[in-house]
Amino acid sequence: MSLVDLSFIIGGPQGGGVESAGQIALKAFVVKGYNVLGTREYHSNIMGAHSYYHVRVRDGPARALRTPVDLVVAIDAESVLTHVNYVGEGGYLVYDLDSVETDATKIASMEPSLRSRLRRFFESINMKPTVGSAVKVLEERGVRTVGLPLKDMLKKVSETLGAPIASIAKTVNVIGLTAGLYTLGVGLEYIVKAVEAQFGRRPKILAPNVAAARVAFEFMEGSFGSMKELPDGPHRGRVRMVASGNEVVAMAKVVGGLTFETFYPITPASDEAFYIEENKYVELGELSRRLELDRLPIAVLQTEDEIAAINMAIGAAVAGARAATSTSGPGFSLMNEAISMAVEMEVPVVVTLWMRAGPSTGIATRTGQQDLLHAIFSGHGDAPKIVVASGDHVEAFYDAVKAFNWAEVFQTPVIHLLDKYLASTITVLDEWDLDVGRISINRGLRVESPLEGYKRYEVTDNGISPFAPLGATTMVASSLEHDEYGFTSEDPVDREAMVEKRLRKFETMAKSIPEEEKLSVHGDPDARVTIVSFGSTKQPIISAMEELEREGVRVKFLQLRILSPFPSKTVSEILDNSDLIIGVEANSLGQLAFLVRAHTGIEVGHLIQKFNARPFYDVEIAYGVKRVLSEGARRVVVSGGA
Amino acid sequence: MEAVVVKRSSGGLRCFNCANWLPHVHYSFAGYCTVWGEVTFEDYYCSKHSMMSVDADRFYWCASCRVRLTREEASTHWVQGHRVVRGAYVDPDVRDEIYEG
Amino acid sequence: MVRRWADYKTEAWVQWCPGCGDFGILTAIQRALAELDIDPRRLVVVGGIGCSSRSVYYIRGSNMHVIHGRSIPVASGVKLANPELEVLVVGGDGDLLGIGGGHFMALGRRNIDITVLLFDNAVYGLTKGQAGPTLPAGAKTKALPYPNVQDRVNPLILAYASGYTFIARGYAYHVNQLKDLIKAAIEHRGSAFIDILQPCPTYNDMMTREWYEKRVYYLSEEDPLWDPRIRGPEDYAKIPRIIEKMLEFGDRIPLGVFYQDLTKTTLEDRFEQQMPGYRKAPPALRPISVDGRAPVHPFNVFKDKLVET
Repeated sequence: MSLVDLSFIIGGPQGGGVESAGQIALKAFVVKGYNVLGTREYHSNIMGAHSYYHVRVRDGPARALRTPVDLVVAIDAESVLTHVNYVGEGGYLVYDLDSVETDATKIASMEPSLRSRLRRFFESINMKPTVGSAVKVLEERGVRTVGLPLKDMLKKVSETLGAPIASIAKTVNVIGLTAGLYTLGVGLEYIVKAVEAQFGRRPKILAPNVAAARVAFEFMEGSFGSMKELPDGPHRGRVRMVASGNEVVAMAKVVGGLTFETFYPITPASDEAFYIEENKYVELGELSRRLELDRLPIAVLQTEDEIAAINMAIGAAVAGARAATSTSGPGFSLMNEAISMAVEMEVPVVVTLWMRAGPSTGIATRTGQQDLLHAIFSGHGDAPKIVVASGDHVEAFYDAVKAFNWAEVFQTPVIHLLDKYLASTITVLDEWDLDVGRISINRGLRVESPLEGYKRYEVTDNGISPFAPLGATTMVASSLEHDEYGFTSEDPVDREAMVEKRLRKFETMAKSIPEEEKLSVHGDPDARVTIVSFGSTKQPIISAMEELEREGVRVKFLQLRILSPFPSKTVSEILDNSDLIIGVEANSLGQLAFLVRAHTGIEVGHLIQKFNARPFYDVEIAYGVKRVLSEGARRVVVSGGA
Repeated sequence: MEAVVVKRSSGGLRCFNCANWLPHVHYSFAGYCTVWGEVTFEDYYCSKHSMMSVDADRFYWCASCRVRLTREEASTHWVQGHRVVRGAYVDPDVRDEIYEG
Repeated sequence: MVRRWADYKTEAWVQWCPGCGDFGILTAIQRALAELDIDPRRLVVVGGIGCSSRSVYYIRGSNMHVIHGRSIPVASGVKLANPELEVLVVGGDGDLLGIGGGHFMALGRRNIDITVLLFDNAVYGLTKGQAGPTLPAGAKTKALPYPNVQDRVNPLILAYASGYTFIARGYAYHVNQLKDLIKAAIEHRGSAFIDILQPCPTYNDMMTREWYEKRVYYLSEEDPLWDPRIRGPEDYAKIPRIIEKMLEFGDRIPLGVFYQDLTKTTLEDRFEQQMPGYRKAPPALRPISVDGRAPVHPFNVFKDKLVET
C-alpha cells in the first residue's frame, strides 16, 4: 500500500510558464525518489487561454489522476477560480496576492459557460465572484491559502541576480512552484536538480531559476517556519527517464527500425513526429558501426496534407522502407481511401492514430476514445487490418515496434491506437521498462533477389506472398484487383482467389498473434464482475481496482489490446464466466460494447462513460463500479476535470 | 464587458503609465522598456518617461481585456478606465511554453 | 547488351481505343527508356486512375498502380526511400491537376528527381468524357450535355509557380520529338514535367489531331537560339519571355522545353546534406536491426529525457 499519495495542479495562462513549471515540479519528485504521472490540459490556443498540469505522485506506481488534489498553484486569477472546487480539505492554494480583486466576469480568456457557473455559485453564497471570495471559501473548507507577493518576490530575484530578469514567465512560475512544493515537503535541492534536468546546466539559465527558487523558499520559511520535509522515496540512486507518450512512441519507432516517417501537423500527433525529426540522424550503436557511418538517417517529411502523408508512406513501404505516418481523427478520415489501397495492394505500413475529442474538429487538444470503430472499419471494401490499442506508455513502446513487425510479416496496414491523454501524459520510466533485448525485429518474407517470374501476389496456403521491394525485379503492385503477378484482372476466378487469399491472410494474423498479446486479464481471475475496456483507461481502472479491493469489492478487468482481428473465442469464455459486465469507454456510443456484442453476441450490460474531453480519474471509475453494483445503473457518466 | 477600473499612480511617473513600456502579456507588474531594452517593474521610473495616451493611428493593446485594439477602439477602452498600452511584452523563450494546439 | 524499346513492352493487352493518342505517348516512352538503356527492374512507373495511368501495365518495370490523384505522393515516397530508382509518374489531367492538384504543386516545392508525364486530353476518358481541368470554358464536346462552365488551368504556369525545374510540352503524334523530350526530362536532376497534348478521339471531338496540328509549333523552330536553361542570375532575363510562351495557348501552341532550372538542389540533396550517408544507406535498403533485435537502448539515445535521482 502506498505511503505517499499526493496530487497537485499547477495552472496558468498558456505560454505563461506552466509547461516548464509542470515539468520541473514533476522532475523534482522524480529526483526525490517518487513515481509520477502528469498530464497537461490546455486549450486550442497559442497563448493566453487557461492551461494546467495535473500530477499524481506515489511511492508505488502512479497509475492515474484524481481529484481532489493536495495543492493548487494558481499564479493567475483564472487558475484560482477554475480550480476552486478541486482542492481538498487540508490542502493548499498558492496564489498571487495582487489578483485578489479580480472578478471572474472580467477574465477575458475564461469560457463564458464557466464564467456563468462561477457567478451563479458565488451569488448563491452572497459573494462576488472574485479571487478573494474563492480564497475565503477555500479557507472555510479547511484549505490553507498562501498569498504570494509575486511582484516583490520577482523584484527580489532581480536584485539577487543584480540583473534584469530574462524570462519573466519562467521565473514567476519557478517562484510559484517552489512555494507550492514547499507545502508538499520538497526542498530546494530537489527543485534545483529538477531545474538542471529541465534546462541543462548553462549558468545563464540556471542562475535566475535557482535565485527564484531560493527567494520563494525563503519567503515560505519566513511565513511558515522550516519546511516539514517529505521523506525521500524508494526510487533513488539510478538514472530514470521522464517522457510523454508522444516521445515514448517516437523512441520506440527510432530504435525499432523506422526509416521513413511522414506527417501532417495535427494535434496531438505532431509532437511525436517532431521528436522523431529531432532525432532523425541518430547514432544507433552497433548498427552505425557495422555500416561505418557515424549516424543513420531516418527520412522524415512533413506533407501537404494527410492524404499525401499516407500515400507517401505507402510508396516508401512498397520500395522497402519501414514506414509509418502519425495522425489524429480528422487526418485519419482523410486517409481512409489509401488504407483501403494498402489492404488491396498488401502494403506494410503503420498508422499511429492518436485519438482526440471528435467528431469533426471537435476539441483538438483534449482526449477521447471515439475512433475505435472508425479504425477497425476504415477503408472501403472488405478491408480487414490489424488494430492494436496500447494501455499505457510501456505498452505503447513495445506495441509501436510490434506494429511494424506485424505490418511487414503480414504485409498489411496496422493501426496503432492511442489517444491525446497518453500523448501528453508524462511518466517516469526505468531502463528495464524499455527492455530492448526483448524487441525482435521481424521483416517477414522479404526477398531481396527474387527469381525470374516473381509473383508479387503468389497465392499461398497462409495467404502471405514473398515480398520483394521495388527495384529488386519487374512487378506490379496494384490497387486494382489483380492476378498473382499484380496485373489488373477482372476475371471472376482471379478475383475470388485474391479475395480468399487476403481472407486467409487475415485468419493467419488471428492465428499467429499469441492470445496473450491480444488481451490481458487483470485482477482476480475468479471474480464474477468483469470490467471490459481498451486503451488508456487501463491504469485508471487498475488503480480503481486497488481501491475497490481495499473495500472488499472484487472485480477482474478484461483489457482488449488487439481489437482486430478480434479475439472472439477468448473474450466469450471470459465474459461467459461473468455475472456482471461493465464497459469503461471515453465515448458516448459505447463503441467497444458494440464490438463485443458483434463478435460474441454478449451484451455489455453496464457502461461507465466519460465524454467531457477530460481523462478518466481512478476515483470516477471506482465510483461508477460501486453505482453499478449497488443500484444496477445501466449507464454512469462521469464528468470530472476542468 | 464591464470595465476594470485601473488605479492610476497618484502623481507618479512610472513605467506603469509610460508610453515606452510594454507590460508582460501575463504578468503585467513586470514588463519591457523599449527605450532601455530591458525588463523592469511597473513602479520603476527613469528620465526618459513619456506619458501614455491614445493618440497616433496605430494598434494598441488593452491589458484588461487582453486584446489588440485599433485607435478608435483604444479610445473607447481608455475612456472606460481599461489599462491601454502600446503593446504587450512576450518572453523571447515563449516557444518553450507553448503546446501544439 | 543495349536494350530495345520492345524490352519495355509487357504481355498485357493495350486496351486503349483505336486512334488514341496514348499509343504515341507509350511508344515515345518506351523508345526513350531504350535509348537511355534503363534497367526495367530499376524503373518505377507510378500511375493513378484513368486511361493514361494504365500505362503502368504496359511498360515493363517495377511499377505501382495506385488510387486516383495520388501517384505523385506515392512516387515521392518511393524515390525518397530509394533515390537510386528511376521514377516516372504517368497520369491524365483529371488525375494530376484535378483531384491530384495539391500534390502536383507540392512536388514542385520539393524538387524530387522524378519525371511527371501528363497525358493531357482535357477529358475524363474512362468515366465517359466529362470535362477535364484543361478543357476551356464554353467548350462543348459531344460528351457534354451543356458547354463547359469551368475554365482551363494552365499546366505550364502551374508547374512554374510550383517550382518544377524542367517544364516542357509535347504532342502525342510527334513521337520522335516527344521521345527526346522524355529523355531530357528523365536525365534532368529534379522535378521534371511534360504536358503532352493527347487527342481523345472518343470523347474530345473539339481538340482533335487536326485541331492540334493546325496550332502546334516548336519553340526551337521559331527561334533557333531558343535556350530555356537557367544556369544562374545571368539567365533570369529570359524568364519573362519564357512565361509569355507558357501563357500562349490558342491559335498557336508552342512545344518543346520551356524552362530548365539547373541551379536548384533536389530534396534528396537536402536530405544528404542534413544526414550525410542518406544515399549510401537509404531508407528502403539499410539494415534496421542487429542480429534480429533493436540495436540500441533508448537510454543511450534520448539523453535529453534522462533524470538522475
